[in-house]
Amino acid sequence: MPEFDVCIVGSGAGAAPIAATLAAAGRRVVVLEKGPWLHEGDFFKDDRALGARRAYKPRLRDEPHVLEDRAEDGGWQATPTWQSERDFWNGSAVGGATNFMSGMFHRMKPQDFKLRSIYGPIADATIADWPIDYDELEPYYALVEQEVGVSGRAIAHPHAEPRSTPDFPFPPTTEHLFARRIDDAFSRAGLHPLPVARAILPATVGERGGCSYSGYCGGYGCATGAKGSARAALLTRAVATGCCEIRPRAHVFRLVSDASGRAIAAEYRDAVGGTRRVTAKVFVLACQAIETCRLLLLSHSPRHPRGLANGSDQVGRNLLFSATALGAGDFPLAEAPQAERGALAAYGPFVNRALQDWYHIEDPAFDGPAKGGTLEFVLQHPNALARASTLKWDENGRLLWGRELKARLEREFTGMRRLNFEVFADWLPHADCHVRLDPAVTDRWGVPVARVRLGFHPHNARVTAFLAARGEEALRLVGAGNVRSRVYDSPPPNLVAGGCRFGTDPSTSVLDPQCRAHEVDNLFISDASFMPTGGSVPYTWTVYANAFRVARQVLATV
Amino acid sequence: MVAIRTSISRRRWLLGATAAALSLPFAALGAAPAALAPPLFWRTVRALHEHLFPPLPGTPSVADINATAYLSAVLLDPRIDAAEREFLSRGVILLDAYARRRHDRPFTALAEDEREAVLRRIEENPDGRYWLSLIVHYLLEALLADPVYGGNRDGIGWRWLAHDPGTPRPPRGWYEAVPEDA
Repeated sequence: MPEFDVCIVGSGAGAAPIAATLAAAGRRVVVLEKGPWLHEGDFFKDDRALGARRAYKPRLRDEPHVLEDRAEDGGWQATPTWQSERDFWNGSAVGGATNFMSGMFHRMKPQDFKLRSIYGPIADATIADWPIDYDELEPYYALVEQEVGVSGRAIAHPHAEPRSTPDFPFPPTTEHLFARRIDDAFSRAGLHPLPVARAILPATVGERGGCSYSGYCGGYGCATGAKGSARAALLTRAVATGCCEIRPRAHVFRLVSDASGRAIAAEYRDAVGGTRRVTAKVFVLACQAIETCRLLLLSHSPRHPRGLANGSDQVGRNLLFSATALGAGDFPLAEAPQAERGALAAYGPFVNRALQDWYHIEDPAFDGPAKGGTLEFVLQHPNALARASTLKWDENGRLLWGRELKARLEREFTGMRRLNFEVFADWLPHADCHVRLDPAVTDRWGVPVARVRLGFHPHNARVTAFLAARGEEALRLVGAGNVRSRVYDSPPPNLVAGGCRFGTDPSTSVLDPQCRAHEVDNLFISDASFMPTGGSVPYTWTVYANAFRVARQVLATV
Repeated sequence: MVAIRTSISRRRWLLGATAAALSLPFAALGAAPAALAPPLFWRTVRALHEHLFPPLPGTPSVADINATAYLSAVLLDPRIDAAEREFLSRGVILLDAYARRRHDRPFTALAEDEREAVLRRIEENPDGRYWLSLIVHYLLEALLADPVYGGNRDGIGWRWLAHDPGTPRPPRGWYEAVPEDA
């Protein structure tokens, strides 16, 4: 008799909806989380610990990834992250990376589910339609608004996706002066500023406190419970049912399967390095895309010689990130009306504005209609150490010190505020972006680490460059000076998805449309791994919504 | 939030300094002894800090931000990679040796313009540039990290830059309690 009905590996956005749904229905659930179990009282605004010292992330020497970049000779150059210091961890703790998100929430749009049908194939990109459509996910987006706590304001908007409820269950967070300036300037120019929803409660609800507007949100744990982390919003309630056990510092390194190929146990290292095992009727993986793929590949057995659920050699393929560009514009405080300077200088309130006027692009720069993306407007993060450490380099890459450095710090900290834009566009799936096991590099326990190839489809940069140019124009409309932007071809590690695509054909997908493994009928995957394409928005809302959808399927099997 | 990586992360990569450089740094800048006597080592650090973060009216001094003691704590911090800490120390030793070779005097005895010339020369070397960027980075930590870490005395760095660090502030010792292999 298995000890639990359901064993969930990971505890973030893909995991917690499963735990909450199953525990509420009286099923016995165990959650195995690699990181510690922290609570509101454990979170502080500490630039040094969170940024410079990487609190809650493994040491790169102990747990590296190996990253493959395109080499000059056209081959691939593999570098372990302890050498490059490119950090592909996003924070390990109960609640996963949602503890550290900024909670900018977007739904995907109906066309994102049918990218290939609507926009057609692109050479060398392995684009596939989703096996479900927006209407199937919509009720779960609505459920997330309630269950996780999403604040916002639904308005009639030409680019908004359809919704089944008239408005958000919580009013928007307090907004920065920039929000009004953006609304005025963009509307005058015929653009359509979109109020952005946030997984942040503006006021106390039950056990969760309202936002304290400290300004230190993205990258920092929330000290009030306002942020809709998987832990604060869902796991606390799951545990309160008495049916959900969370085991922190439990690092799963293998799923054991029996002679018939079904999963029967998870093996993990506990807090003191001992090996333990837990049995369950159903297993759900949600360790973030790269580690989920790694765990499947590590879990080979006689019935699954290439790794669990990998009979078609699809695990790890079609890894996605988000194609990005970043822009910035400066607003000298001295140029603002005296009465507005305080509001302009404030870091606490949120800007909460985006433009999706180019989510669909019709422009001579592209051969026919093209999928575009989102321009998100955010106040520069107040993290003083990160800002100052960047300021030590001048525009030409010369290191500043002495009088020059001090003058620059004074000017940038006390004399201006910066409005950034972030571009979110599709990272096209293709053959050179994938996860495998490294043949040589292991973690400190001798387990092979994930080797991630980071090939970038050139179409990504065409779209992000187009959007970055629109972003620069938009910042100038708001009155920004010193406007500049940069298109990135390296992926943002915190926006990762794919690798275990869902679909109807077992030869080209790992999961069926319910996110159950084609080859293992008691294994579900509910993090962002299932996504065949990622849309042009941050993923978290979609991951939460899909995990609530998958939870119903899991519940039906136990 | 799209990750805009903080602090020194990726800098070494971008600067082209390699892991090999951490074990055999500054090879191109010539030989240096294995160690400096501690008093000279710390006088050299102090002189370096004074040059990089000079006492200007209306701004905090290196004494105000406790920069030298802060760096000594960094050199003993087990959460910073041992190779990086060794690299930081090697750079100080090399700075003294390089000053003696160019000017027949220790760095501490150089005039301001001579110090500037020596440091800009070191900056031309990729390893030297990375080392200097680390030294400046830890100066900025001493200026702006929470006072519980020993710098930024009474929040003087925050006051100078009119910076609101947010709340709640970290209590002493909390970070050391975060599991390292979480």
